[in-house]
Amino acid sequence: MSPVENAAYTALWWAKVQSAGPLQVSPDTPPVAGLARAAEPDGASLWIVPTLPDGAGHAVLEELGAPPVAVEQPNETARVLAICVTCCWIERDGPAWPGVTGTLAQVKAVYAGMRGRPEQSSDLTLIIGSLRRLHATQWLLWDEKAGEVRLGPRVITWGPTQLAGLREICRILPDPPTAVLTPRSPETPADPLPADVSAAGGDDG
Amino acid sequence: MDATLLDAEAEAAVLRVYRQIFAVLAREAGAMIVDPELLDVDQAILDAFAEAGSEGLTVEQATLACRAFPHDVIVRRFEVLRQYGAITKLVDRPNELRHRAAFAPYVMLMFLRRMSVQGGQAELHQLLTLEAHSVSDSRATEAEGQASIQRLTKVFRLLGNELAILVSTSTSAQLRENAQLAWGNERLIEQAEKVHRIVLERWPSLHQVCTQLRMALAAYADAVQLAAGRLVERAGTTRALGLLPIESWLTFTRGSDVEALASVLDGLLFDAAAPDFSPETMLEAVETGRRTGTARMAPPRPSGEASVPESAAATDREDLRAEAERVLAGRESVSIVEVVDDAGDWITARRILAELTAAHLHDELDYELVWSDGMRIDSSSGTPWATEGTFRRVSR
Repeated sequence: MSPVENAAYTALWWAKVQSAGPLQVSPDTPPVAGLARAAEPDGASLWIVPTLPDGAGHAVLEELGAPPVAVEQPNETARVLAICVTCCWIERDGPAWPGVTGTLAQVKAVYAGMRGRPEQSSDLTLIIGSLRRLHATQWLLWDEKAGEVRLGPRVITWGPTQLAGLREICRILPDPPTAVLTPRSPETPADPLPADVSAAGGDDG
Repeated sequence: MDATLLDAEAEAAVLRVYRQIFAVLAREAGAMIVDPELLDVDQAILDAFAEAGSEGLTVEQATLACRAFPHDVIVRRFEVLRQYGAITKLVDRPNELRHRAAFAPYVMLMFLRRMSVQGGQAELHQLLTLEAHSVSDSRATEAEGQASIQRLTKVFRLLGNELAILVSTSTSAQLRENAQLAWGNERLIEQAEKVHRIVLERWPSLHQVCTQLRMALAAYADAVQLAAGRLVERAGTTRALGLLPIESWLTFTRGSDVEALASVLDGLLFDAAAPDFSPETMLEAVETGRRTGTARMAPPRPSGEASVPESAAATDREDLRAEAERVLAGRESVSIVEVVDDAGDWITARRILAELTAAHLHDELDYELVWSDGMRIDSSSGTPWATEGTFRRVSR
């Protein structure tokens, strides 16, 4: 590819990512500068996520006093994301992506445990709403029909500092019960094989 | 008589130069605030005079040379400059049309422009070098040394005051814009200390004014420290002191065309607008979530407080009931004399009678103690004298 074509190719992908956020593409897509790649556990597709330089994230907005992107019920949503991290990030000494599949039952149980009271029917409304919001912004991959959730492609950019903070959250939150996955998708690896993990790591960058 | 006239003339000359200089100073001060264009007009007029050579210029020639500016503005400025003596008639006679410009205003203009750009630090360095030079001159007198030190004291006091006022009153954006001009020169202080050292060694009697200078220097250093502290505190984690204030960015984004905006963003990759969840915010949300969770649970403390006195009273009541039942032993009523005789001695009987009385008075227990008129006297029993009466159940 000539430099001009290359620049146009990069610009196209950048434009896509800047408007839509992380993108799911086929694994034979050539790499694009500035975009991190992370494979799905089954290797059938991969995500491309914009990588920002250190210190160029949302913290800069805060420093400049500019308002961040608003989200409905920010605290409730952040709590549900934290709970999903507890449920889906099993190997806490490694990266958060791709994680394992968690279930709605797990999320509900941890939510009730966090609140320190039995599960209530009103929890479900809050949890589902938060899961949908997080799915829309690609923090989570939420399969509403199956009631299953995975960490979204945005977690690819979590560095060691962030992971340390997340470990603290997992320590505070109660441990989730064992996931009972629907038998409809037995191929979904609840515990990804080592080969998958290394493949995901190899495709990074 | 001659001497006084000469003095007067010398004074008049000094006064003239001062007026020329301060004409520009006054203009400059006005121009910088209201209308920087006026300063350009002054410069253009003085430039025109420089081009004109020794012939000088008439007002009309000057306005022609400064065609770039409106005619009436030039004429007005010309008048002002003439009034202040920056422009004078070529020959001082009533109908002289040609004028000449003095060089001092122009020098001052250049000087002031430089000062306004660089904050006058270079000039201050030069001044300090000159002062050091003059006080180390072998012909310098003690009075000159004192004057020199006093000048420096004033300079540093003004500098320190300006900075301190900026620190205490202005916004950090203003501070950032102005402070860089006024602060941060270790070398300034070093140079001033050098002058101070020379003076103090040559004329130890000047130690008092030298102390004043030292205090001014220390105050300046403190002000620099304060300003630096405030800026660093405001700069955030990036420590980018040169970061433009947010107003500048807003003005730029509003005032730029599409091309300029696009060129700025060229080569920069952004994420799509999405809410951010940093681990810190998640942790905070979880913590607050747990707090509201525990707050909603039944508060254990009030329930404990309520049950403790309840149980004490209940224990008391049950004790009395057990005693009463033991005395009654299944019967509906029992004679007191019998109870007293069963107890054996008076000490025990007294305790039992007290408990039966308590059971009688207790509003939750259905027993009563009724005394009658008779009395039993039996010297052989443990309690010889016993008033007759009955202890019995009542039904409510």
